[in-house]
Amino acid sequence: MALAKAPKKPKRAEAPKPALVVAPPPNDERPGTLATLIERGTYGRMLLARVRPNVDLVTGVERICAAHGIRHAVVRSCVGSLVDAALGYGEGDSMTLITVEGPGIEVLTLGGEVRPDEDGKPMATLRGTISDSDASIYGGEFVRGGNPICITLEIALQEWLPESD
Amino acid sequence: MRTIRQPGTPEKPRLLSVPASNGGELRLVVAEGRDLVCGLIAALSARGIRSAAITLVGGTLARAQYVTCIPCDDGDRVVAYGAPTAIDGPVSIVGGNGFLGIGEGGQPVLHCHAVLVGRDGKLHGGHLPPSQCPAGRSGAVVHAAIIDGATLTIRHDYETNLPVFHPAALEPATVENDARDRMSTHGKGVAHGLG
Repeated sequence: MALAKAPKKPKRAEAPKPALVVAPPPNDERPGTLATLIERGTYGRMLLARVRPNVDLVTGVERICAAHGIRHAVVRSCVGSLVDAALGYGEGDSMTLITVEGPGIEVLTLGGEVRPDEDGKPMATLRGTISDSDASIYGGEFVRGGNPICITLEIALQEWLPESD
Repeated sequence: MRTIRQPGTPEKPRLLSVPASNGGELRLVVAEGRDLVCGLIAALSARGIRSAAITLVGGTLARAQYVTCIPCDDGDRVVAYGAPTAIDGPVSIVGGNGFLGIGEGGQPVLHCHAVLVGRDGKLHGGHLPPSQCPAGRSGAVVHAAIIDGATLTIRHDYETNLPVFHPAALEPATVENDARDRMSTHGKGVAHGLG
């Protein structure tokens, strides 16, 4: 069987060489820019927890940490469901709020950390993704007081021990 | 904040937590054709791991099924899983969280939720049932934090009328206790009252 000759590849104009990317100097602190904050630390205890129905997600996590004397923590994994969900995106006062009506909003992923507030109490900033009963996906920051647990929330938290603390 | 009336009496404490320690970190790649949930259970259980916090970090599934919750008005429970949604592969794993714990019969159980993108580019997400999500050509990439000293065990929850994971200590807190390998289902955790 004769093989058909492959058509000649059209000649392409030579692409311009990309400009050389120069890494910024180690102390990339141009006037007007703030230095990157670095906190050295180690991981400490883990906590395995369940939050029961109608408890708010954010304050529930804070109360779990407070009960164990944990001031700093990161979320290692979380699975659960919400009655309704309130998520924010954007920054500060201009944050936009999304509300998703349940019940039975699934928490698909959760990440975030717990840091002490001005009074030294644990304060959680939690972000993640959810799906509603139509399998529509939403993401953002879980708004304090707006995310009551529906059936359960399983969560693993790991203590963060900053060297300066 | 809207709350929901469950079929059973609210149980206390409202927050259950058990201290544990990190027993190390694993990166796993579930091989092509192996089911994601069953493959993870098998791989972790074979190493004697009974408790782990799971993060799905990448890879693909050859195909997938997932379920989401729908409101349930029968009075027995407030929500139920809806009919499964099937996605054609290759399915990209965007992310996911889960836990390896212990079932009511002592068997290993993995509870896993994931965010996925199907072949059509549509975003999907929900609870992954076992035996419905075979890994794709590049495998399914997972990080697992091994949890020492505690696990999640399934018990019937009379408040919600559903079997639910509960934290429990895996080993006695005191080293001199000779029942190190016997799992305590009572736990050594801190009990929290609501409000």
